[in-house]
Amino acid sequence: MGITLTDNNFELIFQHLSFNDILNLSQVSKNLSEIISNSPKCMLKVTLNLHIDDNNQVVEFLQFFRQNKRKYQNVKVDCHNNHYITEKYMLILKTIERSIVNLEVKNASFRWDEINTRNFHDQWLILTDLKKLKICSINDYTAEIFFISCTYLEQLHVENVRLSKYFNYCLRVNEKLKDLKILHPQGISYDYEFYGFTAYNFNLDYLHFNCKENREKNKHAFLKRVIYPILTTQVRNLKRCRIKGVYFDAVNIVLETLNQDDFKCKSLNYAVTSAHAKFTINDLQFFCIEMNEIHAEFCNNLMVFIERQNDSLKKICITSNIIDEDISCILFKNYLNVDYLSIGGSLELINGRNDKITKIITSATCIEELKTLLKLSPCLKVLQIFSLSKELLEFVTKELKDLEIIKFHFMDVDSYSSDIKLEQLTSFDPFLRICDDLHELLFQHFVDDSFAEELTRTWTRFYFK
Amino acid sequence: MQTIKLQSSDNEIFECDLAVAKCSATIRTMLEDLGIDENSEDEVVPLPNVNSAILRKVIQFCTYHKDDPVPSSTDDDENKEKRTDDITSWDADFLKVDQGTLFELILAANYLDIRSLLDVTCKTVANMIKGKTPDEIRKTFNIKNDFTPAEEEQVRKENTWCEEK
Repeated sequence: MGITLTDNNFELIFQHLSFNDILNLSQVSKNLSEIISNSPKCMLKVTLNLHIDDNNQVVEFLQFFRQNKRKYQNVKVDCHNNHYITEKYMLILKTIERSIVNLEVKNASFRWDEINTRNFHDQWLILTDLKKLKICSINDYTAEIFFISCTYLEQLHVENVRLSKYFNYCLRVNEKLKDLKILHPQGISYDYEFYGFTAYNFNLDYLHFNCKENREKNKHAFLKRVIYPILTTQVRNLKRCRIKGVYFDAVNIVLETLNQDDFKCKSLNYAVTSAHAKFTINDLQFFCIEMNEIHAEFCNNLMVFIERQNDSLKKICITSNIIDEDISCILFKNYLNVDYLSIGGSLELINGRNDKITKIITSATCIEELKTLLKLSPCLKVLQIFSLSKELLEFVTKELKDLEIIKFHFMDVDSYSSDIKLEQLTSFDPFLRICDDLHELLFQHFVDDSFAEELTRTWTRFYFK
Repeated sequence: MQTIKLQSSDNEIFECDLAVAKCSATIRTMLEDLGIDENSEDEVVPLPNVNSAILRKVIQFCTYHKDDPVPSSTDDDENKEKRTDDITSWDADFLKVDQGTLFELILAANYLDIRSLLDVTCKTVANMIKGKTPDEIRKTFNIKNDFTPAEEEQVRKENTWCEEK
């Protein structure tokens, strides 16, 4: 380019370019390569992915990377649980530490003797611009390096990591934290409360906590020592809260915390399994139950719980397959404000009616069950199901006058058959005409291309994925 | 209709509508800072960074767009690849100029702080880059490949470690 544009001009041009265009441009000339290396807008679109699993190749790469001038903002590192590779990748991170904004590290494992034989402080990173940190399956020493290296985090996701005093320190110093996810912690070290408990200064929007720990004692300790202090300070800020894997009395700790007048959490996922259904969570709009099976005691509690929330509750999601008759009575009572229902695969016990439900998502495949479910939701506008048969299509077009959108994975002419032949199209014609009010009929899988073509020609509102 | 006089770097004087001149945030600020009020007919606003050929084009652009609504800054999503297929036919015709003029228009739009002109000129350059190989980009902009083979290999190799965000 003959005329010299300013860096600001280049930034304005670069923001219109895709990732591939940027890489191509970087190979044009030294000048452009350098401009791109220093351009925050360009580097924002690029992720450096470090994933070599061979020691020799990593050394080679480290030599090669010493020439790097790019200010990478997004970096992903997989150390393959190899301490040698971990060390080399940490050296690479050290060279770009000041520019990293978004960092994902997994399977990293520093060895204690590795740290002792070198100056440990050299391994410390200074991640001054880091806003998003995601660490997964890394050992204590590596986790420590990350937890003490950042102070401007907005998002912190830790998975399969032991929670130590350094994690607690990280929470205390990162006052801008908005999004905290703690999944399957490996346990809590004895020194977790090393600094004593003081209120956290961040204002979380989102908290996601999932504990797969089998030992209830550890689970309870985790909830009490880690989650409870966070919840008690964040209860007024949280917009979304997702809590999984905590059962029995421990749930009460959470619910007692959440059961405050000014709790504004709009979305809560948790499992109700014991007698704690007395709580009302103000302004709760979305409620999700994710369990493998629902037993009778759970149903009773859930019934009470859902009824107590009915002023605000708009969405209910039940991923389990079993729906108790009593629960279905609650779900399909007209006074409930729920307009969105996601429901598991077995619906035979459903009864009642709900004129407010406008959207149903279900994996149920039995036609009679589906018909029952749909009859109970006469104002339905959106239906998302696994399989759409001719019989069901005929049923919904006759019975559900407000239906606007049907989404499904397979279309069966005969039961359990996903093959649709062109010659069978004629049998659908009358129903397609009846479907005039439908805005969208979404196919996600199709076997026969010619059938798909014929349908799009016949009825322009079909969509194919 | 109130007018204002603008002086280019090569000392040519352009008389244009005040509303047209005020498309430029720089001129708006200069009028305030220099205390030139809208009735002072003899005052001339000097624009030492814009030559007459480019200033003529800028005035033409601003005259056409003077009544456009001011784009909202809240529309900006810093992280998103921005559209380049929304250039109007008038703007596209207006920007059918040689590359030198196009880049000078970018510099002028930047100096005069005319966001709509800066945006459309940058989009035009981006469109000239999009989908092209490094060699095609060099040919389009007449850029010399000054990489040594080793340096070129370094960049190419480093790119293989990169993926889209």
